[in-house]
Amino acid sequence: MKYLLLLVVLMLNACVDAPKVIKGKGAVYGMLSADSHPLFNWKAEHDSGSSIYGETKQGGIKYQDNMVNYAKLDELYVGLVQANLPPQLHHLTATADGMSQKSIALATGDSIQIHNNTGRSQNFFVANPGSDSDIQTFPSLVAGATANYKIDLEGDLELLSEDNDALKTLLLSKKNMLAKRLSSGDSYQFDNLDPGNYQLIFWYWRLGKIQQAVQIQAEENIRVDKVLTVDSVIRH
Amino acid sequence: MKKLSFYFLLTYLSVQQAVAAQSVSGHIDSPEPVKQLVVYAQPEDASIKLNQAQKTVLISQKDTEFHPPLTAIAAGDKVQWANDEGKEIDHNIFSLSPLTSFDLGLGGKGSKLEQLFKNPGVVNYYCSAHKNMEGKIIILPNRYYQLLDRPGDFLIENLPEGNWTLNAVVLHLRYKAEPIQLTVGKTPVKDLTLKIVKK
Repeated sequence: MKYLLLLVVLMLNACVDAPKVIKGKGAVYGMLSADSHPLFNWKAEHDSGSSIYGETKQGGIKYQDNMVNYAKLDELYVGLVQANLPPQLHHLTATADGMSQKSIALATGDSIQIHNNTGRSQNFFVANPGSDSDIQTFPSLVAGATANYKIDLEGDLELLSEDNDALKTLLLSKKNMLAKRLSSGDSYQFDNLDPGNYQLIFWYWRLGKIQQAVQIQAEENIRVDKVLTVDSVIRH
Repeated sequence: MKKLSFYFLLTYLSVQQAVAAQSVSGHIDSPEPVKQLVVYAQPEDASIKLNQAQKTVLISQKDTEFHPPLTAIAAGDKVQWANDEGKEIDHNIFSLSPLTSFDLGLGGKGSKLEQLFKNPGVVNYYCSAHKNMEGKIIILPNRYYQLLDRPGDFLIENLPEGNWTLNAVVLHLRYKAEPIQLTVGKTPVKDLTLKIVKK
């Protein structure tokens, strides 16, 4: 099992291409993935085969429907904090059952375009759960309508509706952050960067975030791979 | 000697009467979208002696859910998660809350995992293995609180005499409570109205 995992990691590593070197510029690139708790993985490997871990010896954890399948997560984010970014537009659809995404990482000042497919008017707002004063309200959005809402707050936020508890998207809002959404095991790259110091942020809403400083040199590519797990985030 | 003991007892009882406690009750005046909230009282006088004995509050893990999903405790209390699953299912309890982050490792069927919560605030926690296992703990500054599933009447008992502020933690992030100043004296404080308003 260990050798199989090693082989998979080596194969995936080989798939991450370094960016092209541009004169006077640098880049940062790598791979982002998420994984189960290490104790869970250990038990999965050593279990006798009679429980939910039973099929691991035949190759991989057998995930039940109610379990988090870390290999298939598709709302991982990597963000690079850099100056002078033009505002981006992000998209969400609200239905009566919930939002189209659980999470969005964005730059403070970006906008979110919401399409209201709930069949009822919705009053969306953004709040910082840790503060009574950090709240941003938006004009009412009638059923079937679409509107753009600029996010002015910074921090770990929640986009919610006053009218439906099921409508909730977690936001990581950081000034000057260019964020890319990835699936677990995807590669990323930020290229054509001026030499200098930057901050990388790796985030999955349920596992939290890891921040890492990187120094970019001219004509140099820096590789930063990250695996988000419960213990790696807490011990970071 | 017996007389002396009797006088000591009398003195003790009179001191106990001086710090007698009273209940505070009333009604929550709230807009319709507000559901769960915790009404709590905070002393304004440093001289007020509080009942701060540590408690351990239990949360059950059964059918891959936390029961109850919302728990209110006092700062300094412990929470114990019991794995009450009917079959061999492991759970991992963790939180990345800025207030208290923890990773309690893996707990199999029958296990009990504990965590101490020192500071007031709100903590979200999860099981890393099961996607529907999410819970919330509201840590109040002291033991004088009441968790309500929806706005209605409230009753907080045994508040020592003195000046207090009545407030509420409202889970709906669009709303907050308007705190009330009150004085607890020799008789119960009744018919208060705690208003929930938009932030």
